[in-house]
Amino acid sequence: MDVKPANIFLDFQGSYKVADFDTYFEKKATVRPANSEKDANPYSSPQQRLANSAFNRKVAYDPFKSDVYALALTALVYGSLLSPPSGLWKTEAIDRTLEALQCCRSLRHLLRDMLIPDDGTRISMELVHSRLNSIQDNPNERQKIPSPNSLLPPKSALNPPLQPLPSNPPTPSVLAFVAGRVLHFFDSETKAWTNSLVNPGINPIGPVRCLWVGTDLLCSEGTEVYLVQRAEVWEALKLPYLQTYRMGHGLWWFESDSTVFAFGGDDKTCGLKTCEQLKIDSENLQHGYEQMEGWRYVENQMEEGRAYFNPCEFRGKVYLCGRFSSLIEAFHPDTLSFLTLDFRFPEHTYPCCSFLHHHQLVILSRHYLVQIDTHSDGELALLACRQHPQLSVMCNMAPVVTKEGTVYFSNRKELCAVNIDESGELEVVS
Amino acid sequence: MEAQPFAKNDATGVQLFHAVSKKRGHLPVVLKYCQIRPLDISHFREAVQTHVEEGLVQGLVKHPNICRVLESKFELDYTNRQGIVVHVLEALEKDLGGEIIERTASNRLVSEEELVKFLLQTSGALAQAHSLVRDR
Repeated sequence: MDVKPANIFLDFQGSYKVADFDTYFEKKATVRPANSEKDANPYSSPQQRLANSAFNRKVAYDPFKSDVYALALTALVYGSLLSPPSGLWKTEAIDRTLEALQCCRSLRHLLRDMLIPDDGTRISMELVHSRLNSIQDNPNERQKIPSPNSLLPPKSALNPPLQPLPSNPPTPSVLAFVAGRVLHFFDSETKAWTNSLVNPGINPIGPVRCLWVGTDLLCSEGTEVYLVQRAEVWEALKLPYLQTYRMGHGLWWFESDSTVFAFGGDDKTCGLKTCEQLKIDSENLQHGYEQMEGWRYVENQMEEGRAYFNPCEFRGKVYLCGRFSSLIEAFHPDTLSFLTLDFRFPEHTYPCCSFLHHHQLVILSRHYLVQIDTHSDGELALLACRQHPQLSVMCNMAPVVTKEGTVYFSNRKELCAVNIDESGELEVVS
Repeated sequence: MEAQPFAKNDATGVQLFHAVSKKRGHLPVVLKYCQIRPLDISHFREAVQTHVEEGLVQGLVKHPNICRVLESKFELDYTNRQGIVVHVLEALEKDLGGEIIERTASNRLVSEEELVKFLLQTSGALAQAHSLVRDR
């Protein structure tokens, strides 16, 4: 049978069902010569691949044991949420994924037994089923692996009840983020967090970094842009002239010499072939919308429909990373030009956040940490690409601030501190 | 699911229907139809046998984790000089590939219990299918 994710279904009650028996009629023999092109899929066992190669027509394989191998690979893809390779799995990739999989030791041993390359020594499907029954019946024997979220501090410590508006409002030197209907302020000197409610009208998944415009804040949610002003509470005012489809979803701000650069993109609008330049008159912001119409578009190298995220500024350049693209770009605000580096993450993972740390551009995916050299003016250079299983903790968070070797990550509910040294070693500290 | 247009040669398509069963009342089902165009008579016979046996074997395996084949039918379409094998299958929500994409997009990792449940159900279904095919 052609065991792969596309041939296993979920019913409406959440049970898994196997379908597509189109090759079963050939399994009357215990072993069979391979003659089908459709067997050449990423989930084939090594012997099945060998049998399918044009020069090995006489090699036979056990289709039942091949199903065991394919089921283990499917479970590996499902458990790790890694995209399968476009070609065939390599043994090293399987081993790495198996080690990174968060499961009990007995289940990992079972998967390893199912992935034995030789058909003869691989366990049968009946034995797999009986061993799984014993794993399920004896939950106490499982080695408990802490979930990624359990590594984080308790929510009560991170989400104190909302404070009333303080008598001393935060100054522009304090970093501001908006997540949900809450404004978070982070003082990088004291490492203290405060927060305030925002009047209805804004609800980004966040945390989205806000840009100080005088004593007000500029932030975005989807295609909408808001000015958040401090009255009795913080109030969000929608800026209709900034709601431009060309910017797409998610704007990221960067300010240089009173010019604001906004980077954004979305494949549902026009894709991202432009970056936007916007001059803001901070004193006349509410009444002078017309002044904001003067968009200036700069062509870049990013593929169409590939969104930017998390621009970081360093030494007069803005570093950008495409969320679904292999391109990393450095934007020069002075010359309005781009430097590009074509880098594809291993195992088809995608970047989830980027930040500057130790004078390097650090980009994280679910399993990998990539360091890019920012010293060279002529081109971007890849320094290192390391695999870290702990990165799954931060994959749904955004980097908030870096301070003395520690990077603080946050989503809308939790905060996580991670030590990253210059060589790329990583340690979750809280 | 949407109906897929037939390709030029042999092709398989699926379409979601609501059928009325005397025992179970209204039932969402999937019609899986396989269009077979004869390149030659031996190819035609082999292709028909493949598709008919697929439904036959799947219908024979009675297991809660195997998609049920409620009915299979073979028809000759003389006008278009082709054969059509139709399997009536129980309708399912989505395939595992779609679930993986959804979970990846929303960063929802699969728990260990869920992974054990997945392996237990699918291995049980496949073990029963293996024993049935071995005995045939």
